[in-house]
Amino acid sequence: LRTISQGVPGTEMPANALEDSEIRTIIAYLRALAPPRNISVAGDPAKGKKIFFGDVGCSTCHMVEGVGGVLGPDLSRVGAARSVSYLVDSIRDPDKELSSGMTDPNNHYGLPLVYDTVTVVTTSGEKIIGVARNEDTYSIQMITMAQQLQSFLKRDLKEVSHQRRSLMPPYSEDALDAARLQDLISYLETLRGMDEKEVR
Amino acid sequence: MKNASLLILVLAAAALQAQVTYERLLRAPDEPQNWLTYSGRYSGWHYSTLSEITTTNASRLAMKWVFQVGDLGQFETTPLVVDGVIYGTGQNDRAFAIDARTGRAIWRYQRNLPDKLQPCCGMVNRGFAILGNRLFMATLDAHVIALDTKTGNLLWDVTAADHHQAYTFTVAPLAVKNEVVVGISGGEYGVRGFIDAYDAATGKRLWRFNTVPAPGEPGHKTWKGDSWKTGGVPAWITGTYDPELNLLYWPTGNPSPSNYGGEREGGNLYSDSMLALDPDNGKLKWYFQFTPHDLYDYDATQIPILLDAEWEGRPRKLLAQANRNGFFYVLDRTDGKFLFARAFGHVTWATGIDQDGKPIVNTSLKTTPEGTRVCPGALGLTNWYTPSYSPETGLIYVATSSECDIFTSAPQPYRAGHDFLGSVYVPDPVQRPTGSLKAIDALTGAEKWSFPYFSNPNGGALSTAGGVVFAGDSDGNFIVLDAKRGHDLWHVQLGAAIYSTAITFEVDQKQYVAIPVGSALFAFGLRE
Repeated sequence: LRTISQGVPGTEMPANALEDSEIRTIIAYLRALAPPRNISVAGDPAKGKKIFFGDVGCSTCHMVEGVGGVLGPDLSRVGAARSVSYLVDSIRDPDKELSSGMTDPNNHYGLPLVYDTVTVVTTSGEKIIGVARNEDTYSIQMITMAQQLQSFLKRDLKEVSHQRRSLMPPYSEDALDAARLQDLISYLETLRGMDEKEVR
Repeated sequence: MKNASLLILVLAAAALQAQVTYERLLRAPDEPQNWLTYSGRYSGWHYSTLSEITTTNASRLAMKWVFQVGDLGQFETTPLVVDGVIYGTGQNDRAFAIDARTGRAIWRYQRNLPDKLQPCCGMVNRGFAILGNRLFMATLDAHVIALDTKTGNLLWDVTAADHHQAYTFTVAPLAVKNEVVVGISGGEYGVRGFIDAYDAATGKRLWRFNTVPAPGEPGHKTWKGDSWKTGGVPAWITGTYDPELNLLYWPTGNPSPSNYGGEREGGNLYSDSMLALDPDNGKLKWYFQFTPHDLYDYDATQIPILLDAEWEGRPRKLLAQANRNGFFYVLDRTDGKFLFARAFGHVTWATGIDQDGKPIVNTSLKTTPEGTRVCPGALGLTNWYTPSYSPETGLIYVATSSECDIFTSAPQPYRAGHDFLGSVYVPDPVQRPTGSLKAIDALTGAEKWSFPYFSNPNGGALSTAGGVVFAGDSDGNFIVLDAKRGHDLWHVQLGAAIYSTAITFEVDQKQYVAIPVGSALFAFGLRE
């Protein structure tokens, strides 16, 4: 709603003088659109899938259609939600734009958390790193690097700090060459959500 | 025991019959068991002399009851309490009366609203005013109505403006003498703002003060061409009143379009201003403009706090306001003379305030088509969040936000009833905004303490003679702090962003504190 009403600075997406009800109608229409079937990049999606679930390790942290890790965002709809250039940036330079986490529907003016790097230090000196699923003035709920869900009261911690960087490492040419990147992107482009019956 | 219960019931039943006269409103501080106006008293302190809940026992607070409104959206009411009955408004212009002892509903009211309404920021209402046996509500479809206190029955209903043109009310009215004062909303839609007074008995309009002067009126030349016709300047937060000076202090909002000034060159009076009005006729006695030719949506719609203090060797009647533009101001409320201003957070749009009270504008931060990062952001360093003044500490408690925004500007043609912003603004993507409750010395503007919130706030503060401050954050925490030092005494997670401010009252000689959260009003008291 905010994107349509206020536009996106630095892009050609302008603000629109529409009422909320009109914007909600547009959103409903956009959501009703069938995802486009054409894939806009070269590359072999089958090879890309093997890369995703294989040695590059994407699925260690990301889930697709019920399979994979839980540290990073679920990518089951990423092909419908993100542009190719965004996906390339996310792989080559994950810190460039951090993905948004949960939005609080009760907080009209609130902003979602982002997938930044959170470090907490317990009173015993233990340092735990992960991403925040939620946080408020008194507590934080994290997925740790060990992919465990942990909740902390801030009064029990020496320190809570956010670093504006992704926990995901950048994948350079050495780690993922251009051809394999193309394959991976072409696979991600096929990910457009799933029906319940397709969950493995 | 049975006899004692019977006696209490009889006393309570008798109390329900009491009328709220203007004299009672004048002496509201003498009735700490009640909460009779939006800010608890005409001076806008949002403070109570109740002192059962203290710094030493606040940890024993426990829930007494919960009242569910039965609707969704932001619950922004500040309820009134009169002799054992709580009167509040809710989302979508619902309203209710509930038993303050039990939380049980006495009556409910639901306004039959038209389908197409355009309040900028939710279907909210901030509360009632009360006078006699009438409750006054300003509605989303730009009407002012009176309800019967005992039944919620509609007593009168008058149209203030055309809601098809995006005129709307969200304000809690203020009852003064025999009249009900309201200010319009719609600054995002190019309305022409006003403040109205209505006869409390009949609903007849007594006067209107147009916040954008027409041709021939003082201040009109501060608008270019016909821009005054769509100049905005709403007045959507409840003002305060000094009965000795017989002056009503009502703050105003942004000029329209809020973030593009090219079509409205000039100072744009009386936008972002404090108005001192004669409540008998609506005439302007003085004004003070905080942000001339505003480009950042810095509505001055923060409650003006009236206090009397020694100032430079002599007693003086002061007006203090922590303004959305990031500066804390103190004026002489007899004539509007500027006394001082001081930033109470990170401010970049101006480098300071000069000796005449004018901002020293950072001209390099004008909104541009490419985007300009400005602090505070469009939601301000503070906003409608009710502040509180404690005479014990001399501190004003203000909820603040650290948000900076990137503003872009572009001319936008006016279309009646449609958004008229002339801009895009988005939060700085690099720095997630946080918030705090700040304690500010009322006479110097110096920050005495700051309690950090994880997120930028939407709720205000209540201070009491118990030495505590009740506050709420946007992550659902209802919090009690030590008023002198800001120490955290107690908190509870209530599950939804807090958009309002706590009130306190007494039933059966027990102090309660009530806070609207989510879709419910929660009441707390000390554990028995």
